[in-house]
Amino acid sequence: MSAITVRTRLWPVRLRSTPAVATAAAVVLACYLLVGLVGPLLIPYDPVATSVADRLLPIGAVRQDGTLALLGTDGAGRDMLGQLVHGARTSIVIGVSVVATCLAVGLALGTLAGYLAGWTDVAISRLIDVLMAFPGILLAIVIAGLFDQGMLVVVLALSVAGWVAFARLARGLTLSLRVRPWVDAARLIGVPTPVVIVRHIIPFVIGPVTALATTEFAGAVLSEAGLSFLGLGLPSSTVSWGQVIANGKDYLDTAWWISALPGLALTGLVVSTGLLGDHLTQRLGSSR
Amino acid sequence: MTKYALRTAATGVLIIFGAATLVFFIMRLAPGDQAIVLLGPDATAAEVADARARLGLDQPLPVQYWHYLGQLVTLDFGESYRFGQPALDLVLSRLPASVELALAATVVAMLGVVFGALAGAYRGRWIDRGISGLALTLYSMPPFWIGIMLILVMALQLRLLPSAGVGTPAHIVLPALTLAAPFTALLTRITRSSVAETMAEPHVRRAYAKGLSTREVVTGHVVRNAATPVVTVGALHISTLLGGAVIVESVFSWPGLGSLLVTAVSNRDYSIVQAAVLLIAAIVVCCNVAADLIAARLDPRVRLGGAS
Repeated sequence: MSAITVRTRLWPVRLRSTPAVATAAAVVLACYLLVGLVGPLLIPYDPVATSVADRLLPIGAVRQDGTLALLGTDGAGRDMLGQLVHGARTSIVIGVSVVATCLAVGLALGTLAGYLAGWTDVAISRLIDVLMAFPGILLAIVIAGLFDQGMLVVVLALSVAGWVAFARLARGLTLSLRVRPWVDAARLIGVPTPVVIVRHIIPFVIGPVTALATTEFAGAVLSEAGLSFLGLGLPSSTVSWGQVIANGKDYLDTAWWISALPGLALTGLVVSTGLLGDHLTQRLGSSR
Repeated sequence: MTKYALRTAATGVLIIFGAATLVFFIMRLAPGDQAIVLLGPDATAAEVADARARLGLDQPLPVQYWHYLGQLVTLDFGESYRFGQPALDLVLSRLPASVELALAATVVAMLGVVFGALAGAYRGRWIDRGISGLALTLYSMPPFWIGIMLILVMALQLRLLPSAGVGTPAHIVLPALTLAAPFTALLTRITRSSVAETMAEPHVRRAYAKGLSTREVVTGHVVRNAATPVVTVGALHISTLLGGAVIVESVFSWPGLGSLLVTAVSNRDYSIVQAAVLLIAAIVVCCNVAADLIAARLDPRVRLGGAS
């Protein structure tokens, strides 16, 4: 029997929804995680330490003390590479915290609304309607701006509207799951409601919800950058990409790299999350 | 149809009420005393107590909430302590600039429908891959960063367009492009999936079997069917557009509602924050109601489909 030759293409022609792209996206994402988790330990960075002599050095320039400023320096002579690495940690920590909060709240309220129906469902659904119609970033701006600056406030500000997408998805899935035979059977033999939800509903909801989590992570990272850009996010002692972009706005004419680099880093993180998310959505079932 | 319209409008009123409640509790929960913000840090305790009584801040929360709702119904948002003018007047005076920018951005974003339809009609081909990849990248960029990069290239390097402010028609180009960027990408994605879904329906296969070209099939048998989700989902994201405008206006010093809101939040100018947020909520609701009605007009399945 003749061997079937499979022609492998050198160039991944099918750009989207192929495992190759998803794998590449996952690898890029893993690199970001690695940089965010390990990078700050390897590259110390002090947001307060400024050096007038090393201001606005271009990419690859050498500092006064002979060290290399690989990605240049900003308007206060602070290292750009250090800011990017520490900013990666901030973005990832905020993104993960926001998604974890939203997922927990959204999954709980969504499955409850879908399973219990009746007034619980009406109340939760109306709350979802209100928050869906309202621009989430607006709410985040108001909350982050009126409360004291800090990591916790930013996470809360972004979560207030963020859980809604999870709740809506979980509710929709639960509505169709609660009439399935195994759920009826569990209810008939007297399994308590919380146990039914945890053991017989949530395992089927978790897949699509995970796919949604990637999109929400990307959204949270972008929103955090937006808040910090407006000066409403984190205090200036914490490096955030949005803040670095805002700082660089004053030096666009002379030092474009200050604003350009963090934006590229952000785009890379969000694109790879998005590609992975698209793939997961196809694999793990419906979203939207 | 009338019944459908009424139900849609009732939901809208509920949403505005919900937004008002949300804003009330956020402002009451926020640290910092409004009376102190109003009087400045040098005020005496007696002055602060007096101001608190005048603002009704010394009353129980439910009473305050009731008063607040009463004020909303009469469109009384109080005075801005910074400008000494009624907050509603200030907010309304900023509205035209914001509407202008949002409309310009929406016009640009319509390109997304064209690109999305192309991608959906040629699903899986190179043109789809190109457009989809581009849309994903555009959607992943922080809008304010796109704005800054546009300033860098178009205003500072090429010196083609002004980088900030208002005045000539040229001033709106960069803010509108920036605001449109994520929305265009979004419309592209929505249109693509909607068109692709419609392309798989039996009546489209029949149209092909009849010998029509792809172009004729798409214009004659796909576009209208695919339009409904584009209108409804697109309108749902009007709120994304308006939320984005808040940041984009700040980038370009565009004198709209968004930049007013951001400065008001930084200054703790509560009456402006409240008026601006509720006005934006009202606009979002109106857009959604309009979109629902358009969708019902386009597609009988929506208006006859019963509750959903």
